[in-house]
Amino acid sequence: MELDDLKVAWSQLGRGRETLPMGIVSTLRDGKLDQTRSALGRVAWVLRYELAAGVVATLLLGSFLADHWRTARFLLSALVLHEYAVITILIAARQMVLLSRVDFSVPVLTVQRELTRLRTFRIWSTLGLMIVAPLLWAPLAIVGAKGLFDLDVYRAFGAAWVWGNLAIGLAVIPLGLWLARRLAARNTRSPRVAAFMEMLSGRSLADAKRYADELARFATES
Amino acid sequence: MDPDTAVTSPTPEETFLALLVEHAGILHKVAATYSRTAEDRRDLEQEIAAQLWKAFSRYDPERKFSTWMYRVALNVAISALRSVSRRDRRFVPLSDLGTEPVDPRAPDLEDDPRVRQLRRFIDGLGELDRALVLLYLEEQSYRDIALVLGITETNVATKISRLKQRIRKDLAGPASH
Repeated sequence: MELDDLKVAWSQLGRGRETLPMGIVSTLRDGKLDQTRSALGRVAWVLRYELAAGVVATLLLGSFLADHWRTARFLLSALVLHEYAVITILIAARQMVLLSRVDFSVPVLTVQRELTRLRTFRIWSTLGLMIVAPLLWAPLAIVGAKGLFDLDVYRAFGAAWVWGNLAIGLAVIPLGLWLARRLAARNTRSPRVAAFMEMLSGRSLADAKRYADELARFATES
Repeated sequence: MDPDTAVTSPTPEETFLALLVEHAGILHKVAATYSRTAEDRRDLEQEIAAQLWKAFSRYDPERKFSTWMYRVALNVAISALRSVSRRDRRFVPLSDLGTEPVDPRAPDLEDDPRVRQLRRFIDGLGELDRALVLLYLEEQSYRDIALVLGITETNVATKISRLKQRIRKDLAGPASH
C-alpha cells in the first residue's frame, strides 16, 4: 500500500462529517464564541493574576520600606522581598508581551517557535522563583510579624531563629528537587500536580528543548 | 434607493459562519487528528472555532480561506496538545476517538483495512509530521502545504517522499497483515 492509497481511506473517514457541530453554530449566534476557554487563555489569566499579585506585594512592601528604612534588619528583609516581587512583575510582563505576539494565522512553524520560546522562558523563570522561595520564609516572617503585629522577630526569637530558618530554607531546596523527581516519575491523578512536578524535576525543560530541536530540524531538513 | 430592493450585506458573523460551514470538514479532521479522547475532540473543535472567529477580522479575503483555516486550526490543535502534561500527551488511536459520523447513513468503516492502517500510521507520527500528512491527504498542493507550515516547497517534497518510504516500510511489516 502507498501513501496515495491512504488518500482513499482518508476521504472515507471524512464522509458524513462535513457538517458543523450545532454547539458551535449556536455559540456563535449567541455571541459567546469569544468566551470559549483556550489553553493560551488560561495562561493569560494566570499571568494577569501573577502580575496583580506582584504589584500588590510591591506596593505593600514599598509602604513597609518607607516606614522602616532606618532599621537595617527590617530594611534588608523588606528589600529582598521587594526585589522578588519586582522580578515577579517583570517576568509576568515579559510573558504577556510574548503571548500578545502569538498570532495563530501565521505559519505553524513560526507560531510553534514563539510558543516554545514563551514556554522555555516560563519554565526557567518559574523554576528560578520556586528555588529561591524557601529562602524567603525568614524575611517574610520578619516583615510580616512587624507589619501585621508590630512584633520584632529578632528580639522575640533571637538571631539564631532567623539563621536557623535560612538554613532550613537552604536544605529544603535540594530536598524539594529530589522529591519532585521522585513524584514526577509516578502517576498523579491531578494534571496540574503532574505538570508542576514535571517542571520542578526539569522534565518540562528537557521536553521544551527537544521540541525546539524538532522544530529546527523540521525547518532545515532537506 | 427603494428600501424594498435594497440588498443588505452579510454581517461578519454570517460571512464567518458560511465559510465555516463550507469548510467544516477541516475542523473535524484536524480535531480528530490531534485529540486524545472524544471529549477532547469536541473541546478542540470549539476552541479552533473560537480562535478562527477571534482571528477572522485579520483574514484577507483575497487569500484562500482553507489555507488560513488550516494554519489557525493546526496551530490551535498542536498548542492545545502541548499545553497538557507530557505524560498525558500520548495519542489515543483515532479508532478510540468515537469519531461518530454526523450522518447516520454513513458506512461503518471499521472493517476497512485501509482505514485501520491509516489510523495506525497517523497514530505513530509526531505533531508536525501529523500536520504534513493531514495536509497531503487533504490533497493540498505543495505550495499550500509550504504556506501553512512555513517551510519551503522543496522541503515539503522531500518530507512527503520520506513519508512515502516510511509508509511502504511500515505497511510492509507484519503489523499490516
